[in-house]
Amino acid sequence: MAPVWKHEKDIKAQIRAYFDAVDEVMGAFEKAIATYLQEGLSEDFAAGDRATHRLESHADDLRIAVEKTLYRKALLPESRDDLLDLLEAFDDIPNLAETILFHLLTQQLLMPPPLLPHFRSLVEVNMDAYRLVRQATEHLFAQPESMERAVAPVDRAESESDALERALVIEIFRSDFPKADMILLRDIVMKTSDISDAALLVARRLDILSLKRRT
Amino acid sequence: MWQLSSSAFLGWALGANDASNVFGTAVASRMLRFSTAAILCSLFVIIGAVREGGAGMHTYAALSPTTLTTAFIVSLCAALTVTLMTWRRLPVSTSQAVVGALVAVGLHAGHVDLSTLSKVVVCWIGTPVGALLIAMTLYIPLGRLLNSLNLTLFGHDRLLRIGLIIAGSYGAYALGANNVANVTGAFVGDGMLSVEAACWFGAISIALGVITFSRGVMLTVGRGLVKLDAFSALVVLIAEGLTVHLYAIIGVPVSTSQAVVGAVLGVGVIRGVRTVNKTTLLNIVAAWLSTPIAAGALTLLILTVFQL
Repeated sequence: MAPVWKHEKDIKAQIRAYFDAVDEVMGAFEKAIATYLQEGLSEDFAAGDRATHRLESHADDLRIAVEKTLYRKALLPESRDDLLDLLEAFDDIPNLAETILFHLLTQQLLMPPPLLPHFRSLVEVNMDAYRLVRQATEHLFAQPESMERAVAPVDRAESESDALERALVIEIFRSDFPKADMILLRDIVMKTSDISDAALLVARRLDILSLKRRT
Repeated sequence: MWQLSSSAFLGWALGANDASNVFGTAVASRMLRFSTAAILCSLFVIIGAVREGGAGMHTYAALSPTTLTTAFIVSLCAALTVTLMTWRRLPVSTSQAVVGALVAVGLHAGHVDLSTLSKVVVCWIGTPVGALLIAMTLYIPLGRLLNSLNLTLFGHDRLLRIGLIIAGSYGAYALGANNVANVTGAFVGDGMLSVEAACWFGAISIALGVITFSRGVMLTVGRGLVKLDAFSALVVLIAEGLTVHLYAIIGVPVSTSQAVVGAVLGVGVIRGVRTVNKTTLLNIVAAWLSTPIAAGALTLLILTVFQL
């Protein structure tokens, strides 16, 4: 019988590797969006999309490996289920990032100049939400007492994103852009704001995970 | 001593069934491999039986006089009762079957020690009640202790897993200490077997039952108990182990299954949730009556028919 802690070490290492891989995805996404906002649908932006896609696939592979390890190795069922649910929720974030870039590229959607500053702010706020929830995941490994305090900042970022989203959508439909472009732009804005929604969901799951372990 | 064959069968059946009460949760939830659970369970059953199984033997020896033949019949009838009632999905307790058979032997011989019998019956009733009270007493302080450690998910998980393994091993020890008398207690009277030899023989029979046939029962029973969270399951196991061990010290074999039910009920009371339904509780009460009556009736029938 392997020592009780050996499997735990393996699982922790795999989960950390997955979170680090998602950091790379979001880093590539942020860089690609910055390129898009400066250069539009340039070759550099297309390369950024490809890189994000590749990194997202790698993160997916790591997540599936973690799932297989969790089912095979010795953790209590509720710990297994909680971690699986958490990883599934967390995986929505890189999925959204990849989708946003893919839609921009395939739909050949150029953000009209009046919208650029607001869209940039929206992306920044959602990236902040991601960074905050990513910080919170470290409490899985240390300082669990701080988990509860991690939800509030993500909640604030999500509220800010919601406000920016509403303002942008209103601006889009008040403009004189072609109707089809309005709809596509709206979708991109909403998808971008979904990143902070997904981050808040993860933060709430982390909080519940911590509360469940208090008897 | 071919007569010991019936007690070997009884011990094997007891091991196959009762191992699930101590390691069922861990195996069914895939926290522990069956082979590891079986080895730990067998090892601690043997240690418990050899170290502390003697008190129960003396109780059974005092209950009614037996000979080698009647001891064989007691074990055989108890085993048959348990098997038949299990097959009919009726609640049954090995301890209560053995006592029913011993009382029948005593009635047939014209001598049953009523004070010993009273002590045994009181302990039967005290088993689920005692486990309930111990579980209720342990839940809050153990919970506070766990909270005070401020553990991460992984730390919490590791502690509970280690706790379940230790509690399961202790439960196996208590099972051996308490229940070995069911297997070979009838053979101790009149010097047929020494207490030590009876403990070893009974322990090995139980261990063989655990290793060869307990897997299916562990998975079935364990899945039912898995509905409890890990901390509650740990409290149940500790309460069950303490209760059964206490009765081993007192010298009265009791039902580990009924101790588990009592402990689960105790956890439910503290948490304010219903963990055991009325039918299960009624089944326990029914077993107090039906099991010894069935085993006793079968024993009397055999003794009468064969004019023993």
